[in-house]
Amino acid sequence: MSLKKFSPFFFIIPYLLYFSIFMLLPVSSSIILSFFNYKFYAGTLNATFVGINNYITLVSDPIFFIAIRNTLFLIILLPFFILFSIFLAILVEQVRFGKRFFMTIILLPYVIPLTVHAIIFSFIYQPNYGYLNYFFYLIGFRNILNYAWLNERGTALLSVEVVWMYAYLGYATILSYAGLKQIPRQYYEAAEVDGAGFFTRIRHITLPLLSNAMLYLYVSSTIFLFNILPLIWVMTGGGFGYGAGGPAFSTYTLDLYVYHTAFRDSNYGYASTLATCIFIIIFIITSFYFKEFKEVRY
Amino acid sequence: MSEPKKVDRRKFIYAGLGAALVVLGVTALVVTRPPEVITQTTTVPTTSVVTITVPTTSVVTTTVPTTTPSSGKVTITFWHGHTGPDGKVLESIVKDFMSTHPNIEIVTSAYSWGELMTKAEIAVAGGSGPDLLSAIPSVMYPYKDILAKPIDDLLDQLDISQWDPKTTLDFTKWEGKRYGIPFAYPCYVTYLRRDVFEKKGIDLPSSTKPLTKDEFLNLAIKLTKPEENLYACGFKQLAHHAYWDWHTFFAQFGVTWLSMDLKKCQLNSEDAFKALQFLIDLVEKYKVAPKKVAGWSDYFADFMAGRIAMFVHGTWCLSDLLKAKTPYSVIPVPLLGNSLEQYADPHVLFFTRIDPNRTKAALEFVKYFLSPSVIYKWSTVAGNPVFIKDARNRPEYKESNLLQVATYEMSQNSNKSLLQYPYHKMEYTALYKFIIPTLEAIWRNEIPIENGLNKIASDVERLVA
Repeated sequence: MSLKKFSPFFFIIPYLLYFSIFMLLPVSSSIILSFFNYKFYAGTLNATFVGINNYITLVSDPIFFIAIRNTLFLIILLPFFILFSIFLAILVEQVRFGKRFFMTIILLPYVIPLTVHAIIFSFIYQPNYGYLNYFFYLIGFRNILNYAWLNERGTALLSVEVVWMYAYLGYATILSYAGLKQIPRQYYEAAEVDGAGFFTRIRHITLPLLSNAMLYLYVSSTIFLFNILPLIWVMTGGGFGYGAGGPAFSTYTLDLYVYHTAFRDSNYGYASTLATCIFIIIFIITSFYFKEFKEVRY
Repeated sequence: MSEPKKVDRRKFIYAGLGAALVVLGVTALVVTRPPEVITQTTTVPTTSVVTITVPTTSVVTTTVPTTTPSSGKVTITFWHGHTGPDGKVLESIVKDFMSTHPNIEIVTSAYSWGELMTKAEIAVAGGSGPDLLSAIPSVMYPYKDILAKPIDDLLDQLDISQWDPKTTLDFTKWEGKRYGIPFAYPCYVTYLRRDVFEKKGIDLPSSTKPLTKDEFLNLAIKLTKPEENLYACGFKQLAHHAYWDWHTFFAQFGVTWLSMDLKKCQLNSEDAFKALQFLIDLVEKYKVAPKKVAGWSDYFADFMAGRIAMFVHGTWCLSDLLKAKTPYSVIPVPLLGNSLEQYADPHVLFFTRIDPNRTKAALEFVKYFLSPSVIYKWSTVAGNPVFIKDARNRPEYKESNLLQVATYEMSQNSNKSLLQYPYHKMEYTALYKFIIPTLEAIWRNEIPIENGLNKIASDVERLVA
């Protein structure tokens, strides 16, 4: 009998083990390390407990605030990305033939590694022979010829985020599409009988009833955005990742700062402090999402 | 039949929290336990003394034998950063070696230069690291005795009389010990568009005598025709290439990024200022370079398209120029300062010496690779001059204008102007976190040169302190 009582625990033990070893242990280690001056450099280890000193350094670290600003800029643009994915999902739902074909086309960029996207788009953004400038040239924007999208501080970060959006658009669209399919048809039929037009139906039925899918989309996209490092690594910095995040820190994000601090500067204590901050920031942002998006039951 | 007893939600949460606390506690114990260390004192070649602590779990002692006793075949791993055509020719050399040495198998892996040592360090710590590494000398200081072991006893088995200039072997000398075998000298040269010079009716400058500042400026003014979208030159303003360009000229005044006692940053000196001002003047004052903030690939594209007539960059551009059939010629970098210096970061072979048998096999390969009849093949494809005298006497080597110019530069300065000399363990942090961002800001006119250079100096000095 006593074994039966604990049987649910046995079922979750494999996951608990996985969770403890690969999630809880690293996160806990990181939080603990953030209170240490922990430097490992070519076989030389130096670990000293420094209390909250790393956190004090953090609040006066200008690069940290640049990284926060850039990361938040990326997140602010998320609603446009999600709305566009819903728009695409609605379009796909409206077509009578070839739904699977269109979904495959839209999903295709998602299965291509980010680094490949980064290399392709580096060529597209190339100032002298890139397709983007040539496209603008063709449609009459002659002044844009030779514009260096990734070299200008005003456009570098946005250019990288566009690539991220392109890469993840398929993922977001397929989730939105799945959400759309769950909305009962009767709601639309009833609205149509009441004389509601296409946009009214989207505004009053589709968007509110997509709340569950949108919550998941916002949370997962935010987490993915905090892992934009491969794109920035390849597209900025002139080919050597240690210099990524340029020009002049304009594409410097929090995840890149953590990587550089740990593996370039060999300062694991401070990198853990930064990682803990990322954890807190993601927690705050996702809590906001959970508060804003109410669960919908059909 | 009785219903299975449900687990109370509260108990479930408590159990989860309990498990989490246990894990947190165990983690805290593991993480905060001070590592057992042995202490050794190492003298930096100046007057300062630093204390280095090495954990007893040091990666140095990790061994994973890959010798197969039955067959006597030794498998060694060779990691390098030769990811272009230089890597392809290296692979073919490795294959040739294995066909003539059936008892040695070489597994090669290519990584970007930025990641090579970090990955190697982790791999060696895990017991699967490389036996042989091709890297740059500046990584020697942080990785000496870890990934780069002393090799004086191995040098006896090489024909070191072949190394020319002799001093090149000292690139990796530290406290009387040698830690690596330098073999190639990738460096900056000036590429010229032969067709543009012909079109303008201007004679190609001498490839054995560098242009002085005035000669370079006169030539640049003659070549520049903005109305034809043609500029004389283009120096980079972004990323590490901005620093490499600047380094070429401040090194000619004898300036190094850090003083030899590793305490004072020299990048705010008058000569460093003069060197940077010269590059800025090419754009702003003489208008012989396009007014844009761009990186190396933009200017290389400009050169390939004939929009700039002279391009100062590394010898490794050779394969791209040949592939595109660009009509080019090569001359030394312009001489602005007192002696002909330029950006250079040689290639060096390091031994991790994880296992004696594998070290022996790795040395066999190194002897083969650095023999004049083999290394010249690598050199002529890679475009990098080599230190091995007899390889440079091969007709294929002598025919290459690029290799001749680079060899001339090498003979002028091969003991002085290495990038990031003197070495410091925080050089990457100094370069990428402080020097380059400020240099980019100077190029964008966001900060006056003098203030920018002072900022660089104070940031670097704070870091190295």
